[in-house]
Amino acid sequence: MTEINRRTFVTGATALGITAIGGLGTLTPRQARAQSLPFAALEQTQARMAEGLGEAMVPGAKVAGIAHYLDWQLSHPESSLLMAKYLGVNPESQLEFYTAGLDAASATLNSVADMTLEQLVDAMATDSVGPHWQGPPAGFFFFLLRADALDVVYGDVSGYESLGLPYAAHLDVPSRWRS
Amino acid sequence: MSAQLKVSDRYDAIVVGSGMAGSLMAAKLSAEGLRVLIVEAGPERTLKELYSSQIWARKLKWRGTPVEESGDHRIEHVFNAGYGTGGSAIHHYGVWLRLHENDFNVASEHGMGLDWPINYGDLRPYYDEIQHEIGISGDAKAEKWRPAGDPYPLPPLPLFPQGQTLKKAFTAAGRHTAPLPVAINTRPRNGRAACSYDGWCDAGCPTGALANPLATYLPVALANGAQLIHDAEVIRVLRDASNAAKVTGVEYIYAGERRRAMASKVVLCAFPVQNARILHNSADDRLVAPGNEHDQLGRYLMTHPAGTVFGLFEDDTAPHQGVSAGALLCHDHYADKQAIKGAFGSYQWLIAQAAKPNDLLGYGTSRPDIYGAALEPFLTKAASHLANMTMVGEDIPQAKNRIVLSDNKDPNGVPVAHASHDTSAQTVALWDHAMAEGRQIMSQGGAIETWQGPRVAMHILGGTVMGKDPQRSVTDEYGRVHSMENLYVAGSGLFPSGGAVNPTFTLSALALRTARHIVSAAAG
Repeated sequence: MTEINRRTFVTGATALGITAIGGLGTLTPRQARAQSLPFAALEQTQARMAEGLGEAMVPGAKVAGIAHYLDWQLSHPESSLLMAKYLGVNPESQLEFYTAGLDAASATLNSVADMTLEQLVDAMATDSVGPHWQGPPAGFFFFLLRADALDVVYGDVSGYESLGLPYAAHLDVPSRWRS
Repeated sequence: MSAQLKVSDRYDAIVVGSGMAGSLMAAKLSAEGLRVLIVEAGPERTLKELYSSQIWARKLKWRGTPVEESGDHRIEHVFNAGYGTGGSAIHHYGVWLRLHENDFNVASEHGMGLDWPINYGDLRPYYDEIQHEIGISGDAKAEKWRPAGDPYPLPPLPLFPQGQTLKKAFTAAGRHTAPLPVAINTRPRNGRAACSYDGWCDAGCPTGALANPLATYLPVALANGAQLIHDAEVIRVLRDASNAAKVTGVEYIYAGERRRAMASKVVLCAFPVQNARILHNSADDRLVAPGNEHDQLGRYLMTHPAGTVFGLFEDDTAPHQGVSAGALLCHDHYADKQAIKGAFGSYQWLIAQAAKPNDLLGYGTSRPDIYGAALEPFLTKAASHLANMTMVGEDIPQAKNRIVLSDNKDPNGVPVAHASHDTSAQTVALWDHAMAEGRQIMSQGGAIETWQGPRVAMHILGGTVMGKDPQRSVTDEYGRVHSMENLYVAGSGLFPSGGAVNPTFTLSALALRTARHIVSAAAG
């Protein structure tokens, strides 16, 4: 077996790489958002809600591309990398799970007078969203969406550097995920 | 190895699964001249694609036919199992501990579950032999609780700041610690590199420092001439039409087609749930499933109840340094399984795991109560001052905890597995005690804040348990299915009880013992 030393490999780059639609190469979720790539799985309102909730949970998630990250994973269930699969949400059912949660958040926000996004997140965190929430358990959805936002903001080289941590990869992540 | 590899008409042995048990089995059988075919359900993986990312690491976890789960302490199959070359051993942390002598007789000594058909003395030579081959690092003398065995061939892991902080905490609490024995090279050995202690073990170790099958037994098996096919999911064993006690091969799904491979012997080395599923699926209108003649197949499904305790210290703990397994070990509560009122079982502390901010075990995920503006300051603090340690406890084997076939079928028309697992009040009491102890140790050691994670399922054990009595077990002491002449099972599914140590070393020792038995039997 060939011996591999991590020093052989270059550290850095696109740990959350997204293949751009139209064969444009590879993009990070941050780059995909900056280029306003169209969504394949999420509707615009769902994407906006994902950005709003993600940003309220993990500051930085919006510009880091939480909506494009989710959209990519949900539109490729055969290779989904969402943490949800660890907790009983199989890749084939993740699209339904996430869209139901995002729609429930929108419905709750639209139905409760003067409710802010931050107040909604507080209610989700304590599973006290009220009767307008018709979706997966709010606390569970909060936990997973927060984890996704952590992945997007802190799960790559730039996220580690923001915390003063060396990423120190043994083997750098390729520019494109493979199944 | 290409999935298009031509499968020959007949083999001496078919090994189902390429994880630790399967790769070891294939290496040992092929070394004796047996023609071996390894049938792996998942995709091909190589060391060169074990990317350093907690996100990418999720590809290494189970992605095959879904397993239905129920019970008040589910086994968390997706997280525990692996998928692809090397199986779960690709993402295992390399904690290689021996069972203790008191783990083999919980039924006769405590009236709990089942006894093993063998004792520690029977396994010790195999532990020693594998330890020499793999190259475990550690300090046997410092492990005052360790059963008799050869000293470790490699020096222990270095102790980074987090480990130093927690070592002081355990000492302050009157507890003993020893370097954690791990199948990770602390020095270059046998062509494998030394570890660089960057904590990416969970994503698979591409350097070969951690003894995953891609770096150890699988290359040996292939060099010996064993063949390996991927994306081939075995669904049942085939039986001789004139002798129901004999298998003739396996049926598997490849590219949506049912295919067959024939062999003189079949060794099921898949993960415990899949081994049980294959056997269940091997029943037909005429014959009961192999190993289920006495309604025992799938029973005594176990896990290790586990939980992590976290603390923030004034010390700079540099928690990113080290290995995912931890740095230190404490077995002070292993010898007496009835030491805690209302509880049963041994437990251990794995101490000072290298920590990451994201993913299921990350410290960011461990505090869902912190979000919004408070999150970044917390993460920044934790990145330099966090310490963590994990309790691994003993499950009580219960016959009602079982792997069965569901009424639901996969796209190929094969019933999926359903795994039900309930815990017991005594196990919950054990876990509660340990969590409280862990937080107290952290506090005594100077933690300014402590918290704990939930009770989780670490490892999957049982379901095809070994035993002397065919009416209470599935296989004999060598993993041979009681009712069958040439059908074997390997892996942690054989464990009649699970102790409280990580299972990979023990399942490897058992697999070696089975391999020797098969070779001996073949030689007549």
